[in-house]
Amino acid sequence: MARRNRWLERVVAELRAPVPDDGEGPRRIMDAVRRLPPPETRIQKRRAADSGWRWWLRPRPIMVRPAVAVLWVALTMAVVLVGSLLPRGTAPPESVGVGGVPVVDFALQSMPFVFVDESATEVSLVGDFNDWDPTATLMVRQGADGIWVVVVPLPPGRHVYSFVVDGKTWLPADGAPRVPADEFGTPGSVILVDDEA
Amino acid sequence: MPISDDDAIRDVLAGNCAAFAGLVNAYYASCLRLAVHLLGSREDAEEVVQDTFVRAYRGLANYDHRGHFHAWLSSILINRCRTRAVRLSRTRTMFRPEGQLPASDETAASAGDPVLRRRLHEALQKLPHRQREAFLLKHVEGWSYSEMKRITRTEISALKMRVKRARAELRRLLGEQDDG
Repeated sequence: MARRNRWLERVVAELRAPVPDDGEGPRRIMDAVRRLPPPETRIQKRRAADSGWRWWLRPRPIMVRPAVAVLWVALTMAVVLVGSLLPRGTAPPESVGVGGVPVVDFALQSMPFVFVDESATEVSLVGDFNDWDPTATLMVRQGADGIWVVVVPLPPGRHVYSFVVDGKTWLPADGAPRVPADEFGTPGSVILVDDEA
Repeated sequence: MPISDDDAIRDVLAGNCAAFAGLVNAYYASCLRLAVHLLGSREDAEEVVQDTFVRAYRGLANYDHRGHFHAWLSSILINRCRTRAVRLSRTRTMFRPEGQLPASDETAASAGDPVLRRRLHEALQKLPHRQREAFLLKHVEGWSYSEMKRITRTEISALKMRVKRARAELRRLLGEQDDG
């Protein structure tokens, strides 16, 4: 035991001998330290890093109790479930958009148009709502009495329209207010669509 | 009358940068000695010690180990030495052949036994870094195991095992009889 201690003591004494130093080391350290800004606490550093808009960009942990998190998830799922089970309201009128895709506009009102002509083989509705295109809104013949019907979704306001019989004869609607014929001599009728028709 | 470490730290934090010189002068020598033994190179040791003190200064506002500045400083030094040792191991072998060992007068000023000193430094560099670290902290720097745990963030049982293995390996390398 005594031999082992002597060996260790010799080794330790040798290793404990100071390393010669000319004093340059501490001087270099103090030169470096003097160039540094004063020590800052972590809180000061964080405040500096969090100033202005950087507050919004810095990731930060959010502490949430597991029980509260589970409650929030359950509550959210319940709201979604109840919402999906509620009865739907009346569907708003749909119009046909580009490529035949229905376009739902909650401001549109469904307006029926009726035209009577027993001899006609084809009747279409034209107006400022379909760029006066005779092929855009074809009317449907109802039975053998020559009654042609179409329902068109129109936005509230004043609209001018006409009927086109067999693709060539433009006629105004009987009993509807009329506007003077345009520069092409085309007759037009007027329909007013309210907010709640 | 010398002021305590905590008083010096208080002065530094109050804006007296020069008060840090007292801490540097108090602990520079022991830090340099530990770093030289850990890294086996005076040049690397000086760089690491300077880096250690600079880091300590920058982190001084967060120092909250009242009365344990030396241990706190040593933990920074140990980490810097570990980092440097990893970097050195990628560029050269930690073991220096005898011809490349630091000259005796670079590492120790005492009259001692120059032959033993050279053999000892050579043997020390052959130990695994963590064993060398534990041995030096325990026997050369004189820290207790509980203080070593704080400095190295290693469990006491592991530290004891490293010290024991380091002692046995040093004894073997130095040709001493293993007498327990």
